[in-house]
Amino acid sequence: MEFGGQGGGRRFATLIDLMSLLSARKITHAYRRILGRASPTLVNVDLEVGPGECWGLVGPNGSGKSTLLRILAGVTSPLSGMASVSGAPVGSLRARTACGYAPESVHWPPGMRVQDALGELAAISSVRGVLGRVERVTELLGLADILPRRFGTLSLGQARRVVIAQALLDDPQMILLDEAFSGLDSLVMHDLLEDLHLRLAGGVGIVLATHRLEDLVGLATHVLVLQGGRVVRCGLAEDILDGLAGRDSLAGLLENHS
Amino acid sequence: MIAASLLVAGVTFRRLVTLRNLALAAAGGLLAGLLALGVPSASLAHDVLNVLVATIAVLVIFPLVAGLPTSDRLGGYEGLQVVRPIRSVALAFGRVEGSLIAGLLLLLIIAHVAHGVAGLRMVPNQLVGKSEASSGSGELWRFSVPAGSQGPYRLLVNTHLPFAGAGELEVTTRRSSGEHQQQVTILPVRRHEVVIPDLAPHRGDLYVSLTPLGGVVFGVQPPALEVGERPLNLGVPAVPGGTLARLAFALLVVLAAAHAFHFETACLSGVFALAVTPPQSPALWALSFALLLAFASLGTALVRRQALP
Repeated sequence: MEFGGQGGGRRFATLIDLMSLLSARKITHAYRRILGRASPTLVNVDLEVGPGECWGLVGPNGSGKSTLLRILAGVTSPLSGMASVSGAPVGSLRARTACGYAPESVHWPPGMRVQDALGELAAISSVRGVLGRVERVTELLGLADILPRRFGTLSLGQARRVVIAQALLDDPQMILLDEAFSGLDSLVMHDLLEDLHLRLAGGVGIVLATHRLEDLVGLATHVLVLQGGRVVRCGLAEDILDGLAGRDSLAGLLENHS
Repeated sequence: MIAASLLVAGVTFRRLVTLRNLALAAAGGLLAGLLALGVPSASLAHDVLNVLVATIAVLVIFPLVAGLPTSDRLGGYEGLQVVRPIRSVALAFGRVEGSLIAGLLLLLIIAHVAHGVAGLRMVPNQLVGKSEASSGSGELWRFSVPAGSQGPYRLLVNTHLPFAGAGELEVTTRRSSGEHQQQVTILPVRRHEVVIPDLAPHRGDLYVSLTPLGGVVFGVQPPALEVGERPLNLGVPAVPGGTLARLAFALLVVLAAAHAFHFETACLSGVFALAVTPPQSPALWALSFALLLAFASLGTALVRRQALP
């Protein structure tokens, strides 16, 4: 794991890339504007995630957590900086093979059945063992009863479970979860956390974006705090989360920094 | 990659060919057929029906096939597809392929229902005469009248009158050993209707001898005999080859545009494509298909990188 604006030679950077599952260096992003100056959403963000590490991305709304995850998933291009997954540039076929991404919100096609969506998404990755993979995530997230239903008939929490399920379909080496736990009931949460712990023990890396610190307790090994697109705190989870609990924990975290 | 592409095509097809969309296509066909029933001239019904089928197809199918990729993009489902390890060309090919087959199936449903409904219209059953003999003094025509058909019959004759005033036409009808002769006044109009008798109890083919008198000249078209009515037979195929090719080409343009642009742009592209003459040879079709597929793949690749709005 590495963090910070430290430079390092090209050889060192390559070594770090090889050792880490995910590497992001000096990521800067701003939404394009035709006229006027675009305000940056991310400024010089570095992140290194090694095997078995779970990084919690914490910050208030608009701090750039989701944008960073989108960049790491390869669906948004940064203005500058480099990011790679398993040594391959994000967005490349190899990086996409290694990555599972659950965005914060997906408006599923209302007429589509859950089983069709999971089947299609599983098969796009690989046609081998589609049914087995769908069955595994179905069991993990308790989707058996909603598989034949159309998305238009699902509740928010049920649709949310399908978003997480599709991210875990291909047993990825790197899991990117954006506000993954909001809307989940405690039973599903328990099973999911157990599964994520098992994956971490197996050497998988996780980046979990959330604005609720309690989501990270017991799962995150490291925490990165973002505010206004800049990294304001970073380090081991036990150091940062220690002593912080309750509603105002995030505010407390940011106040401590200021 | 090919297997994944085919699977994407299958799922796309299944998403488009739903009960609701099938019912929508059938309702569109029903509407086109009912409108064609109201066309006053039976000879125009076929052409009008083709125009109606094409219009309904544009209104029903274009939005359906353009709506799938564009709404997936807006809703975020496409985002879940493009982060997976599949090449843009394979993903685009699967979606275009599935949508194209589904769109053509819906088009055929519209056309067949429209033709089925419009085909219920009763039109005069016209028999075209076969020339038996022709001389300077007149012409002899044979009509194979169906066995159960009862007269009197209407004979339609095309004539010219090269001068002002009126001429005469001598019409002699023979059937087996029966015969009937009549004289008709010919006015300067091109088509004349002459009522000729059934000549019962004589049956068999009807022979009509036409002898022009007073400078009457026959038209190019042979005379026709109306023997009762029959349902308007619109023939097979329900969609003529030219119309099918034009709509298929426009559908392909809609799909390619939908992979790169917004819903409205994609639909409008299809409407403009209808005004273009579709490729005439298989080689040009293959080239057009490849180019449009490449465009769709490029659109998918750009969407993948969020290079498009």
